[in-house]
Amino acid sequence: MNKFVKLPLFLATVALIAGAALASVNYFTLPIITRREQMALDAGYLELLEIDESKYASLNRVPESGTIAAAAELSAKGIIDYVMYENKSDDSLFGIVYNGSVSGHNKNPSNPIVFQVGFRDGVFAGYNNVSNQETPTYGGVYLNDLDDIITGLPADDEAAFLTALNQYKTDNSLSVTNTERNLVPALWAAASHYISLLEDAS
Amino acid sequence: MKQKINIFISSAFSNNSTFVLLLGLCSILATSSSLSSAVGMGLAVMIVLMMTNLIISLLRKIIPAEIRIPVYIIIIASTVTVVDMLMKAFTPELTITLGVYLQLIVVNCIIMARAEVFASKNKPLDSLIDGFGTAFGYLISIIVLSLLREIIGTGSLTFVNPFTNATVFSWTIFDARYAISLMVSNTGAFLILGLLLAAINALSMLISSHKKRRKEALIAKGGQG
Repeated sequence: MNKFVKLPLFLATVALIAGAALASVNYFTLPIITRREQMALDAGYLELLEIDESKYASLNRVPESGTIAAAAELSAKGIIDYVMYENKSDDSLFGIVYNGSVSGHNKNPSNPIVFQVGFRDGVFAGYNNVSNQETPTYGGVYLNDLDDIITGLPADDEAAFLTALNQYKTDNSLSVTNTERNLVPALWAAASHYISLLEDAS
Repeated sequence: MKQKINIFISSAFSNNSTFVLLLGLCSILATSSSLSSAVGMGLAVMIVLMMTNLIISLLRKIIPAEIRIPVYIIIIASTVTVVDMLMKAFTPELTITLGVYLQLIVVNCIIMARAEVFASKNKPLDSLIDGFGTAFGYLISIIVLSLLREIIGTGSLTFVNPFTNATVFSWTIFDARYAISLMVSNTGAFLILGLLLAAINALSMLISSHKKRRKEALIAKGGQG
């Protein structure tokens, strides 16, 4: 057979077999990965808002939240949805956790920064890293420390929020432009939405 | 049997990919900041290297020489993707820790080098041993580097089970006030690797000069006799 036909045919066959192998492994692992991610998200809600068993009984998870997609202006920034917890006694807002997904240093759409950010009592309650493919010694370090940086910062003070992030980068001589390019606007969009909910409630 | 042991010793120690051939240093430097991530990376490379060596060796007689490199790349990329998917499913925390370096095993030159130099020319069992030996050398190197970096950089040593995320041990070696945190950073990785390479080179030079002196002494003794 002509070499120009035989060689591409061989390469295509190898690619086809490899593709079939990948598809079968994906078939078995995808449900496990999805289940684990959902478990991580559920654990994140309780952890970020510091909801223990005793507190859980006095709270309501607002049923429609978390299933309804975030508003257009929020989703444009990378916030997918949110989960609200209300006090059973007076239906007042206890806390809220936003689920987000933005592209970071690794621009491959299948490797986004998946995160949760929580708010309670008018401040950032914490940040939870669900998954990411950032460079471990740059973006990875930043994402790991983000919870410590933003927890307790007022959700209505953008200047304080940005100052805290810049101070951290200066103190650690860290440049994470690509990691935070979309993440920081997403976090602030969530904070602004939370504040607007608080204002609506009052 | 002796030949198999020789293959293992050669690929793991005499031709150690990190300290002798200086291959695949990017991932070694990046993921050796802690013992847990180093062990995870080392094991991931071991699985990939053994699988690719085995597959390429099995197919070596039917892969046309003209397209062997693209075929190797397909095999290596597929194997790494399989390992990545399995790790995402069963060791998600470790996947986050290793970050992009897990997928970058695809372009780790150790894998391609062993495929081209050894697996494409040798029997499957020998290739499997070579893959294991090379990866074992990589694992030892990354563990040594991570031990030094974590201990000097933090004053303690912690190992986390990648499957359960539970801490297996956490030892405080010395007060964290005396730790040199630079060693956990990228700069520290280069410094430690440089010092280790210098020490290994000095040691090997010492051994070879000692051997040379012994040989000369034997020749002189033989001449007198």
